[in-house]
Amino acid sequence: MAISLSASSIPRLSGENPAASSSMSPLRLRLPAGARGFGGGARRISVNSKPRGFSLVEAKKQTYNSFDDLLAKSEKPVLVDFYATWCGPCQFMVPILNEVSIRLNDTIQVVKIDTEKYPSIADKYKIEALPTFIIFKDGKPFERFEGALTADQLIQRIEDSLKVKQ
Amino acid sequence: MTLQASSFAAVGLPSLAPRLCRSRRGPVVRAKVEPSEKSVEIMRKFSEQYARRSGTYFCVDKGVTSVVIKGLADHKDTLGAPLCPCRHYDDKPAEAAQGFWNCPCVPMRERKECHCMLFLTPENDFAGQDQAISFEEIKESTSNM
Repeated sequence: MAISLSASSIPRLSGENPAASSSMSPLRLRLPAGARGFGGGARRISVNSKPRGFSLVEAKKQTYNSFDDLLAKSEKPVLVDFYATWCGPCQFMVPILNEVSIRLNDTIQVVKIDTEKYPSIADKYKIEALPTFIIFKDGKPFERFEGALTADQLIQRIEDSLKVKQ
Repeated sequence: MTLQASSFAAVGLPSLAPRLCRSRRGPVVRAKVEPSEKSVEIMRKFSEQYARRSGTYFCVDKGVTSVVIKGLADHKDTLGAPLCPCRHYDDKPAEAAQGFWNCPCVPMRERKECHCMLFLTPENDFAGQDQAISFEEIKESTSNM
């Protein structure tokens, strides 16, 4: 797959160090240790000596303490991509999500969650097949669908969803 | 494939707590656990044979095929069985022992349904022409992950 490393506007929940971001760079979340669940440790190079309640600074200099916090504070609907490292269709979606994130920059915020690093979040939303996409509106799941799709299909799906259930 | 790589140059954050801060260094590639070559080879051979046997084809984007094969190999290494890499599980060892989602999974065996996009029926939009994939191809497709 010709996917290159590049700056992306997609926030990714991947257990990494927090970083400030402008609107065109990603939002990376770090959750309190308890929220990470088990099993992700072996794959993570994390320097997590910070106690709960650390903060992450995002584009508008807001602070998120959790995924729930991000959802609550987002002004736009949020498209969440639940993925895993070795899930082929999830990797297929990487450049597609980049494109959609840019094209629908004003409409929706795109966030990615590594289900192996955050199994508790994946459990909470009863994720089974990967990738699963959930559109959150007003902090609550609004629509969900599974499987890879093209950028046009995904944009259509998002727009239809947000339009109809307005 | 960018996955775990921090490909983003973050804006400097003086207010961050004292901890390893990569914010001024630009792209950082994280080491990721790779499946053993032996398991990759086993799953590669299995995938070729099973595609032929089931009359299915690999994805037009062989990168997808490569990632899934590595995912199967990774689970074979860690769980002893090639558990489907395109699913989230509560308890992976239990699932591997139970077997429903061990590749080839029940949906594939019964209905030729492979949501990993590893084995695609000819009428699937994403189906290519190949039922073969080389070790080199797998290595190259996943080299930038």
